[in-house]
Amino acid sequence: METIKTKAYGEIKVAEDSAISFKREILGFENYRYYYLIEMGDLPNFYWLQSKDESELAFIVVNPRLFKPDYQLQIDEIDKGLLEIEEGNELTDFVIVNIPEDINKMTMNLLGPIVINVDKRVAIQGISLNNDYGTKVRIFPTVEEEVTQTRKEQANAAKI
Amino acid sequence: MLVLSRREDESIIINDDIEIKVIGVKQDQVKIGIVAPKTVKIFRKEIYDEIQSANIAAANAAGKVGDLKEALSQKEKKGE
Repeated sequence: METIKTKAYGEIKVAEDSAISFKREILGFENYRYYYLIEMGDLPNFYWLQSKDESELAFIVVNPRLFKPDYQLQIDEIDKGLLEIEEGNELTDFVIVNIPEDINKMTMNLLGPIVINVDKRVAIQGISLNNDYGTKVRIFPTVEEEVTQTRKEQANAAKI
Repeated sequence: MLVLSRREDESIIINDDIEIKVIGVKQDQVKIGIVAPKTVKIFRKEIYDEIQSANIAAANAAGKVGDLKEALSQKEKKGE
């Protein structure tokens, strides 16, 4: 085990060499390639993505299906290539959570998913090919928003 | 920045295999056609800008773990 410094949890212990290497860095943070993915013990399905080189840089990520059960990861061949996928590799995907002043208006970024090849310990921030996925999708939508979103999706489905 | 003037139906070739063609010009809009190998990523720049600003906002807010726990446990209590 090795001890690392985190933004919200102080010093914690992680498995030796368990950092994930980003083959395409998180946009806006191109100088930071290595991150630890840490389970947030008391928040099931939420993970803490902690920069290895900058203790003050971290993201909260979540499995988007928790709040949007029909979410589908759609990334292009270039993104898949960066993930060095081989047969039998396990892929896992998350989205970044943003917490504004009013926590009820918490959002997730479905447009730029974090995709990890668990076996190779490499990751990317991909760009979703689904045009309906925005960067500020409400985690707790109001009833009206849900209706609008469903209509939008139905309209697009009709086009296909 | 390299600046070139092109008319409708005229093209620019980049790196031998990427063609950028002006398909049409209407008022303040230019319609552009792009032919490129599959390995070239093409998105509107706004997409990158949007993701980048969402990332920066999220990084600034990541410390609010306590608020997050509070909100989620309240939602659970309400049975949402």
